[in-house]
Amino acid sequence: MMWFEWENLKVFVRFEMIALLVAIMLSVVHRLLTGSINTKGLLQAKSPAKGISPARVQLLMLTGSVALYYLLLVLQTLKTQSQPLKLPELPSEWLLVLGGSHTFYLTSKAASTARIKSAGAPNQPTLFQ
Amino acid sequence: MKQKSSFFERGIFYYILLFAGGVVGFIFATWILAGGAGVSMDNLKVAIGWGGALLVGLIGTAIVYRMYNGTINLTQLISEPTGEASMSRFQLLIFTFVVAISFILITVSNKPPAFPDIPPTVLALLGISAGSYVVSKGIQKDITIARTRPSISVSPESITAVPGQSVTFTATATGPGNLRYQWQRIVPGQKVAVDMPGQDQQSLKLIANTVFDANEFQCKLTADSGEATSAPVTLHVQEDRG
Repeated sequence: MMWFEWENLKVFVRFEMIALLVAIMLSVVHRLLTGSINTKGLLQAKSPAKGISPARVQLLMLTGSVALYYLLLVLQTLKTQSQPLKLPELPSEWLLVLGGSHTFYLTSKAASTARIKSAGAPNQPTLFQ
Repeated sequence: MKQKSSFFERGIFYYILLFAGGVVGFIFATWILAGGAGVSMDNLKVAIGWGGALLVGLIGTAIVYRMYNGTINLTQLISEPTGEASMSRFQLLIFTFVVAISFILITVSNKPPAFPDIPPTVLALLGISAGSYVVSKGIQKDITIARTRPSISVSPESITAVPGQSVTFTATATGPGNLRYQWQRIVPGQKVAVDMPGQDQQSLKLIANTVFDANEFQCKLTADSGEATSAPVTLHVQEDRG
């Protein structure tokens, strides 16, 4: 069997795709952890009061949970099925919770925006001094 | 001093293309020299497949390398134009990675590799994530506008003129939306700036008169997001003694 045969090519492409995607992910994660990707203010409220925003914290936690849960579902599918013909289903309960979380986040952000806009102009006319 | 660029900085893609061409040539040579298999379409497909796979691998490696050494700048990957990190971008990035890696894992685990179906719930997940991102950007635009106050970028300057001479004060402003100008006059001895009727353009044009001597003028700028006023400048009107 010659090295350039079809079967070897399929194995090569399989590992190549996984290696490239994992390398890109690791590069992004590494830069997130070392601060090369700006994460300043990720959890901070955009309202004039600043501080940690509960809406952002809950969205971050739920996003991480759903992402991890789905990856585990995929790994379980790979373990139990030799020929998986479709991606695993995400339970609709998770979708509902995620939709609620995003709604809470967006509502909170819209309320903050309204507060910022109604805060008024900070630069008052300069009088002669 | 000009920095000496590295091998990778001097057009890596040209080297990749050159190398990939060599790889493809090598595969063809191997395929022809193998001889026994004969020159068939199947062998040609495999050779092209190897060339394509190696090329994709090299380009992918170049992209990862450039991400690693910072040539591809990821600093603002999840940042707003204001410089603050964006939660909506971050969650979209996470879900994109999760679905992409799931798709590739399932695809390559099939023998032969085959694209899997995407269930409606996963599409809904991506829809929620991307929809939230779009709505969030719409809201963010309002915040950005609200935070971008108008400002005077070029202030007017004091002028000395003789009576009858035409003088012009000009202010240049920046800010979001519709900017409105109003020139104000401060008479010596008074500390209150008074709006000048009809003087609502970017430039204030006057005919120098002794009544304006030592008067100060300033431009008040108004936008939906706030106000700004230029520093007062003085008009000196001196009799021509020549």
